[in-house]
Amino acid sequence: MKEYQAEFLEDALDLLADIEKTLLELENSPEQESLVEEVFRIMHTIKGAANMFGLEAIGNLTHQIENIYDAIRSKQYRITEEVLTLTLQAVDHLRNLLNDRSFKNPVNKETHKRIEGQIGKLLSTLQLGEPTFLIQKKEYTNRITYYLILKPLSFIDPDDSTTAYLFSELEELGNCKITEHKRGNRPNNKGEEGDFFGYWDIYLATDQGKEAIEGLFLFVDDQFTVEIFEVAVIDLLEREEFHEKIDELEEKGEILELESLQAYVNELLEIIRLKEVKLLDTDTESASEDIISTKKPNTLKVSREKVDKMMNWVSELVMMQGALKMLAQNNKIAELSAVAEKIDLITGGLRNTVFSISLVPVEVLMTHFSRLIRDLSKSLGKEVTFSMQGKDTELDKKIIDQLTEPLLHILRNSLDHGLETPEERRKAGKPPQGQIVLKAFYSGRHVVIQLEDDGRGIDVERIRKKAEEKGLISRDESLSEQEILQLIFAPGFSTAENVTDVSGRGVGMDVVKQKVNEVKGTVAIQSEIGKGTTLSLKLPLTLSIVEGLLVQTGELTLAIPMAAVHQCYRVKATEVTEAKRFNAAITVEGKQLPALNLRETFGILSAVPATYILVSVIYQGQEFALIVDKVIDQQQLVLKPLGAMYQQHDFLSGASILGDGSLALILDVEQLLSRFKTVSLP
Amino acid sequence: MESESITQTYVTFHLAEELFAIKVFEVQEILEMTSLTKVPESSVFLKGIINLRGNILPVVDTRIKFGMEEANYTSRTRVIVINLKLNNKQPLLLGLIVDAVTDVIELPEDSILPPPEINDLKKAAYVTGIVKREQNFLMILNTTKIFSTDETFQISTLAPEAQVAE
Repeated sequence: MKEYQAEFLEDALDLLADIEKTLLELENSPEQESLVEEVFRIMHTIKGAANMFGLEAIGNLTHQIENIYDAIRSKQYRITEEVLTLTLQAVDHLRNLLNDRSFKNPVNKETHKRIEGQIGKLLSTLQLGEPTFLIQKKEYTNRITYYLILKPLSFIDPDDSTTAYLFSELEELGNCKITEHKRGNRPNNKGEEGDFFGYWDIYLATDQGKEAIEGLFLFVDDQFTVEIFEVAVIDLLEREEFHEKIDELEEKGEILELESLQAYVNELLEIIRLKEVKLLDTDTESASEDIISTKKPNTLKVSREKVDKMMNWVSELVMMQGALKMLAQNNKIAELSAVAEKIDLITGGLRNTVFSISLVPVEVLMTHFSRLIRDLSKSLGKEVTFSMQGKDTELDKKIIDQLTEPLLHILRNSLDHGLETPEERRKAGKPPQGQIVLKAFYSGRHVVIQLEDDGRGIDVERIRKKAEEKGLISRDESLSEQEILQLIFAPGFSTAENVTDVSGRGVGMDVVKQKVNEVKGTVAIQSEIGKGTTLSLKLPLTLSIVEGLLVQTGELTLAIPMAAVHQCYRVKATEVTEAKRFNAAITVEGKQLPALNLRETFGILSAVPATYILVSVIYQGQEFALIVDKVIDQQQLVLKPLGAMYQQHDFLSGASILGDGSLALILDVEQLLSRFKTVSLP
Repeated sequence: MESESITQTYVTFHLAEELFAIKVFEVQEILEMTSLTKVPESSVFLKGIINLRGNILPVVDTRIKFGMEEANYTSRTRVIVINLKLNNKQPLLLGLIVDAVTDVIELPEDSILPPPEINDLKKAAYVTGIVKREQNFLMILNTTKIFSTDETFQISTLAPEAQVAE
């Protein structure tokens, strides 16, 4: 069972995340019944699985919460602020319990007691009985009959409690008819005489929807496969004729084919209709669909390992495709070139799709943030509205995972130190509600995430003083405003003064900067006193395969990422001798462009060609020119890191292996140009 | 655990007149000298990078690193690929260009004497012992030490962007 338990824990965490999201939505729309149903359903699913794995504490707690939400959905209780807060706390606690199932941590024990106590109090005011699934007072039961084929994946001990438990759960969902089919042959000669290996036919009529059924099998999908078919939109199991027919087929020993079942059901439905003129209430049918609303997008859960393997294969493919392209060009065989081109196209498409797999929209951070803001604003007595711009902006999941904590920390700081209390704001002529905006957008080859508040702003003088006190800078050191603000990220800057209950906790701005650097990003602050503060995180997109322009300078083969390339121009060598200093400009097609002669930059001394090629790039909104000897080709390149020995070589993002096995160095245009930016530009 | 005749296997190589040895388990493989791609703005001893079966291998000219005169590469020149484990982070592969690889030998632990006074401080840091074999002196090297004191090697994510002092 141990392996399955690990999967349960992972699935349970996902489910808790779903509940949290739903609870926050419920807070904004308390009348929406479907949300209450969802909470109830998920709690029930977790309860079932927890009990199956013997995790009593979790099972009991979820059971009680289930009771509360059952009362809410059967309108015996109204959803209140108190209930929501309690449920959210319970969700947090359950998360902790999943990692500490035997209450090794005494804090968890206490929390558990407290929450149970509070829930108990709530429940006693309701005088509830056992939760019921079937809302019996309805005229039309909205029950749909499903046909399930349940197959164990390996031999099953007939006394195994798993199946017994599953069946009892199924029965709780609605009317149920389970038929066992034994099969004579064992699949792999394991096990002893009398072992069961067969399958079960199950007919289930329930109004809980297919998702509820799937939920039951969620935690055992390693032990069983289940196929669920919707057979009829009414409860067939209440019909004697149905039972008779099924029994008849069983006796005959016929295996019920789905088609014949469907055919039979249609027959039966006709009979029923004629008998009782019972109209299928299409309204209740669609209403029941609402209740069981599928809010999840069409997604698939895939192991990280598989995705990484796929990325590796794609990288290899891109390298080989480069080799193929070179062969085609060198051998000048028309058909080969045509095929090579096609493969180039396909590989490009494959590369883009595969890399987008590990990208997720920043929206996933929304729940964490909403939650934090909700909790904190209450405890700090501040009013906050939070909004997000650019939710759909996508980032590599690894990066988002790394950044969640730092962003939350920045948010905490904003709420704690940045935003003022409503009175302070009124005095300052600001609306009492503070505004926090999370913006996400693409900028060149980066994704930028900005956290903006309209609070007090940062007092640069105070920062300076504090830094001096801490010995981080000396009194007479002259620093620009940005440099002073950056001191906030220096290790040792966070003081006891800052460590309030809220924003302390050993996270610290220096850790934020470190984490951002780890994913090769940068962080910057902008602030204006009285107006607010903006923190910007600039992060790279997944960059292991880049479309690059291969160029030659002397004996160096370089690659410039196509995303940065603007245009290419040809210039005579005589014109370029002027561009020895960066701030000399080259005039090309009537434009004056600041130019960087790469021969000069990299100290290349070989013979100068007669003409140069200017590759212009856009950096910070301006066009710059990079002077190279010639352009070789445009190609997909697999970026390989240069390694720790070349850490300081920030102007290079890596190297790439070309089709003929030689190496090209990939330029990081931003870094290359930022070096020279300090030199005055025209 | 220590018995008198524990032996360790070493790979020995030449640099000019001198003989060195490194433990065989520090060596991943030995390559023939192949075409190098130079990387601009590198330290003098960091000769460049080569393609090692689809990965980038930085290559060091060991003569220069040890403060010896540079020499031309011959057909006997080899690249010893060593696996450095630094600061408990991921292992790092590095190629050492040597004049020739001579042998793989077994050396009994007790034949290794502590290193003599070596004037060159650089070398002193990474010669961990010395062995007399036949007519020659063999200097035992600790590869990790060779680079851990190197400024280029500060794998520190918190340090501000300092320029390499070379």
